[in-house]
Amino acid sequence: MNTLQLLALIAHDFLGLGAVILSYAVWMILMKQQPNILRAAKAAWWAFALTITSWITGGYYYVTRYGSAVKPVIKSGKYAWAHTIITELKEHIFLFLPVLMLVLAIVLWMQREQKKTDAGMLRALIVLAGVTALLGIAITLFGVVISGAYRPAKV
Amino acid sequence: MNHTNVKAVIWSAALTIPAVTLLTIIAELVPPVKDWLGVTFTQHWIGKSIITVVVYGVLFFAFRAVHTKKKKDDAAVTGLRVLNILTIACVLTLFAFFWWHAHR
Repeated sequence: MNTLQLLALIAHDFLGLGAVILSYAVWMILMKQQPNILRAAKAAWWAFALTITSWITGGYYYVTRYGSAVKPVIKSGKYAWAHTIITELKEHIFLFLPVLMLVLAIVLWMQREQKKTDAGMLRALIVLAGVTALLGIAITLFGVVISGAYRPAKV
Repeated sequence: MNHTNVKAVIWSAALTIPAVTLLTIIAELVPPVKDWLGVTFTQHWIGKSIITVVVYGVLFFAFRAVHTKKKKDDAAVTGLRVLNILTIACVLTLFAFFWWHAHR
C-alpha cells in the first residue's frame, strides 16, 4: 500500500466515524423534549460534509487498492462472505448516506426559525435521523468485519 | 430555499435510493450492465456514485417543477415518511439480494 492509499484509508475511517457520531447526535438532539433545531441542523450539515469527504477518500482507496489487493485475499480465505455479502452491502448502502444526510440537513435548516416544529414533521425527522445513524453504525461495523477478514499470507 | 425546493429535495431522495438499489441489482444480474459501468466510468462503483448524484439532480429539478395542491408541510411529511420506508426496504432488499447472490 502506498502512502496516499494509507492516508486515504485513515481519512475515510476518521471522517466516516465523525459523520456517524454527528448523525447520532442529530438523532439524540431531535429526541429531546424541546429539541434545538438549529443545533441539529448544524450537526447535520457537518455530518453531510464529512460523509462527502469520506466518500471521496474511501472511494479512492476502494478503487486503487481494495479491488486489486484486498478483495482477492478475502475471497480466497475462510471468510469469503466478508466480501461477497459485507463489502457489497457496505459499498452500496454507503451511497444512500449522502442523500439521507442532505435531506436531513436541508429540512432541519428550513425548520430552524419556526417557533414550533409540526409534530408529524418532527416524528418523521426523528425516524430519518435514526435510520441514518443506524446505517452509519452498521457500515462502520462492516468495515471492522472486512478488516478482520483480510489475512494476507505471511512472507 | 423555499418550500417547493424542500419538497423536491425530499421526494427526489425518496426515488433516488430505490433507483440506486435497482441499478445495483441489475448490474449484478446482467454482466454487460456492470461492464458498461466499468468501461464508461473507469470502475462500476464510481459509475454508481456518479449516477446517484445525476439521478438525484435530475429528479430534484423534475420535482421542483411539479406543484401540488397539498399543504406545503403535508407534502414534506409524506415525503419523509416515504423516504424512511423506502430506505429501510432498500437496505433489506440489498441484504437479501447479496445473501442470495453469495449462496446461489
